[in-house]
Amino acid sequence: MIYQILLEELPYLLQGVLIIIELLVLLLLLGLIVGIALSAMEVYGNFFLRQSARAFIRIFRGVPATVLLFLVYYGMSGLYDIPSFAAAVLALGLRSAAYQSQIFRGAIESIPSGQMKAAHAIGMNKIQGVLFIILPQAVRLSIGPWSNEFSSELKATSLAYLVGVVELLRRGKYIVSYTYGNALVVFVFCGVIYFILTRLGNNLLYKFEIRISVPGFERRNVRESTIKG
Amino acid sequence: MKRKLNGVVWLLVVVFLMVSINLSFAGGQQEAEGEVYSAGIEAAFPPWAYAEKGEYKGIVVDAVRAIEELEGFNVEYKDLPWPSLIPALEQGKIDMVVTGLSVTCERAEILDYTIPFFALKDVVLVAEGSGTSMAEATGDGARIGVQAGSTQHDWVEANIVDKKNNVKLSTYEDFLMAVNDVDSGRLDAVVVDRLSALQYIEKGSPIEMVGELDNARSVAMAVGKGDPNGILGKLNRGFVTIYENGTWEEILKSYLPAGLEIDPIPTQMRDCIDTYQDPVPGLD
Repeated sequence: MIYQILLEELPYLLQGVLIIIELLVLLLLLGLIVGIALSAMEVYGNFFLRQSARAFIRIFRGVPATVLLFLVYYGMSGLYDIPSFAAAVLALGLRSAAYQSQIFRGAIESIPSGQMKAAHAIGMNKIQGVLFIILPQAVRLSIGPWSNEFSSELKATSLAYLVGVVELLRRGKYIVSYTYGNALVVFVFCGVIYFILTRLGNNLLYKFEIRISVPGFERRNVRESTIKG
Repeated sequence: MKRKLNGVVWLLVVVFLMVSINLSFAGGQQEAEGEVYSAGIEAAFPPWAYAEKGEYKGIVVDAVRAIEELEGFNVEYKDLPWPSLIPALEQGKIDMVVTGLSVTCERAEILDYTIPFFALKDVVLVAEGSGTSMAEATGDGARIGVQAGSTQHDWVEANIVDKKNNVKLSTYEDFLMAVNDVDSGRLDAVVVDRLSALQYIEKGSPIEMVGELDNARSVAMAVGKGDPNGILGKLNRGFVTIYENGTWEEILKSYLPAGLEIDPIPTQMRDCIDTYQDPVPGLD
């Protein structure tokens, strides 16, 4: 009976969930750091910084994730034998950085230019203005679009099996293969797990959005406008 | 601000703990005597190699386990999807492929085969009770499914697609999905090796065999071209030994339907395979 088998395989499927979460947190973190840096280079950088950021973004947004995974995993062989998990973090994380950079660029550019002038007026230099005045406001505006990136990268982790990361969906495939069937039941089961993870993660993000909102300062009322889910 | 930062720091700590636990598990397996080879496995290929409850199983996995003990080496499995296995072997990411790999002259140019341990034929499967005949399943206008990059793929392309009219060939990452599509009516037939077909039918899949293809072939394992790690001799010697001491028969009986004849190892060795010319490594 397939439900009996699913129950018996549950510990191994949950290991797969753990791997997804590790992969997701690390790749989003890499994407966040590199993404913010890229957006800052694009908005505030000189010609050279701006163009190199754009080149990076063009490449990593323009090439399929599977190709990036293969490039990172196989491309360095001979020089460095990169482990599967690290290859997945690097390939998906850098791709995410390219996507995230545009979220932050949009948010930074939406902050009125008067804010920077005001920062200068109270004696801040450009870097201080960006760090203490612009970014704190921009990050607040980024959470909505960033929850898109979170949701989409969560599902993109299921591509990591291509370079040998045995994550949830791959483990589901194992079950389908040795039971000679049951594809629908097993994949729907995995789908429900992805759904729950997406929902939990987005809930956390929206809670964070509410917590960092400044009452009376926001142009909209976050508490009311945030769609739950 | 302090509370928020705390949350982020905790999240990071938890993730790094999880990663390090994972790494230490992986490291724990290496503490064994003898050389450790990296073995590529497509663990969705029963009965040759598959994974059940976190453990790799299958005919070739069991055979390699027996040979490991005989020859005093260890393998560490690395699961890769089937289309990646041979490229990974070429790139040196893995030292051997642990699965039932069909022996073909073309593949022999990029990898080295062990001695063949099984003879196989491919069969044509159709949906149970569909009444599709062999002629319909492989004739004009047929919709046929195969596993991508498989020997069946090449054979069907050369002998059916190129010779009949309007044949639609669909490729799948693994043939299970193809069998599903036969069941749901998206395909007329799927071409798969006879052993897998028998397993499907035994497990109660709603499919039936309508005929055999004229393409008998052998199945072997593979190592990197030129055998850079010197494993080929150990594997060949191991296969002959487990055949002679009866281990092989036990393994096959535990996976295959009863009454299937067991071929002596090595099975037929083709002339175009360089590692099958005298002296064959490990056989003297």
